[in-house]
Amino acid sequence: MTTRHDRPDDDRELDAFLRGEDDLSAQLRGLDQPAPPPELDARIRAQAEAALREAAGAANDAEERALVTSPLGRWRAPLALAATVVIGVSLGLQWDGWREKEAQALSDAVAPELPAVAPAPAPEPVQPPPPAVMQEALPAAPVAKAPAPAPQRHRNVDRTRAPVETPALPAPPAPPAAPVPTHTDTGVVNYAPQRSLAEAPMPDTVAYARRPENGRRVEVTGNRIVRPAPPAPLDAAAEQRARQGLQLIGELLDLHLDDEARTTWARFRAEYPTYPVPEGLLRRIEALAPPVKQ
Amino acid sequence: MANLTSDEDLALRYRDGDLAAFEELYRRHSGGLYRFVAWRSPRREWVDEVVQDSWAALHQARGRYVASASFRTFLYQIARNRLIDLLRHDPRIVLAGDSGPGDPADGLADAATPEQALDTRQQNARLHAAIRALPDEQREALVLQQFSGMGLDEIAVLCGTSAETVKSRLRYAMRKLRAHFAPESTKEAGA
Repeated sequence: MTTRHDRPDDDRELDAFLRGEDDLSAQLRGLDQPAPPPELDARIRAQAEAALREAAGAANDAEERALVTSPLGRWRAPLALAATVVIGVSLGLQWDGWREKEAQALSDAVAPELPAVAPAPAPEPVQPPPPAVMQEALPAAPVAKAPAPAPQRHRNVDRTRAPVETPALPAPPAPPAAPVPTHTDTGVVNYAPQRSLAEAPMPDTVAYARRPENGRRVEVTGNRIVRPAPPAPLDAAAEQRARQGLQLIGELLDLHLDDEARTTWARFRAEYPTYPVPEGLLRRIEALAPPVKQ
Repeated sequence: MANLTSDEDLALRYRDGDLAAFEELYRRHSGGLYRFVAWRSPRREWVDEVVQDSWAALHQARGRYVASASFRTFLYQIARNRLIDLLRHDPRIVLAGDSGPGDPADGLADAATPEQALDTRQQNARLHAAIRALPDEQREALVLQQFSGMGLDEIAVLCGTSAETVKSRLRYAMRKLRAHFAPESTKEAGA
């Protein structure tokens, strides 16, 4: 043992003690220390192994149960397919109905500017509409006789929303020499998807070209299919992480690990700024004492 | 498993189901945790149970572990709270110390050779007595720093106090132990 007890509070001695460089710390190190008996080691290791195996098995079982034994079970995939078909059909019907209304409205607006129904002897080559317009107006353009657009098509429509100045598509096939089919009295032909771009009369072209200026159409399809409702909800994994984060904070508070709880809370809030926090937990977090300055 | 891997990384791997990561964590901390519990437990028969419970609690909590928390602090805090819970159920028992029946070194000298057994026992007994005589907070700081290898900051977090306070406790503990052995040192120096 050291002989310098006359200055036991000397910082140097304390530092040496803390670093394990003095006699006292050496003697402490030399003490026989209790150690976990081998059987306890084995129990704990086996416990951990079993816990991990159980967790892995539970995860697999949960996946299988979700697919097989849940109320929807094996019908989930067919139901999802059926729902997709129903949505697609209803959107297609809506699409057609809307187009008719739109055509009517546009015909009212465009009619005064259009020449009479008199057939043009040699119609000017049809100016192809820009891609976005094409996507919207002709679901399967330039191929004729396309069915009603599927939801995926709507997504494309929304993504490709563009002003009229968008560069035109490559030139369409040359227009037929024959006169354009007869129009209605309003001067606008119905938006018949069966009609190819080459066959499309001028009024159609005008109407299509103007459509992007009228944001109503894109808005309708976009809202229905593409645009998510703000704020974006968390996906399942993020939701679970957020819940676990709150649980951890609660546990840290239970353990009185205030600094850890404070740090974890700051990280949590940065990652999930809008995630709802239970009132009780929030009060406990707010009641945390300020960090100790060392 | 590389020794350079931090406890926190290992804990995250363990959380994700990596048994090898747990093995490494256990290798690193089983001894220190056991010593901590043994020195703090008022009853010898509690030690194994508290240690096993602590690791079991870690299993349950591993899914919620995030790397922002020090793994060792988290683990020791679980064990510390288990001890406190046990004491709450029987307030007549105090932590290993002044009158606690637990002696973490009971039987530890049994393995020594017969020639050394007596000396070892006497020396250990004196040191144990000196440590047990320390106030609880000082003894806790001493055990964590000297026997479990914790730094001042870690101890401060674990005990819910400041590093300066921990340092002060260690200073007092050191003084008392030195004072306890002063007569013998004097004798040795004079011999």
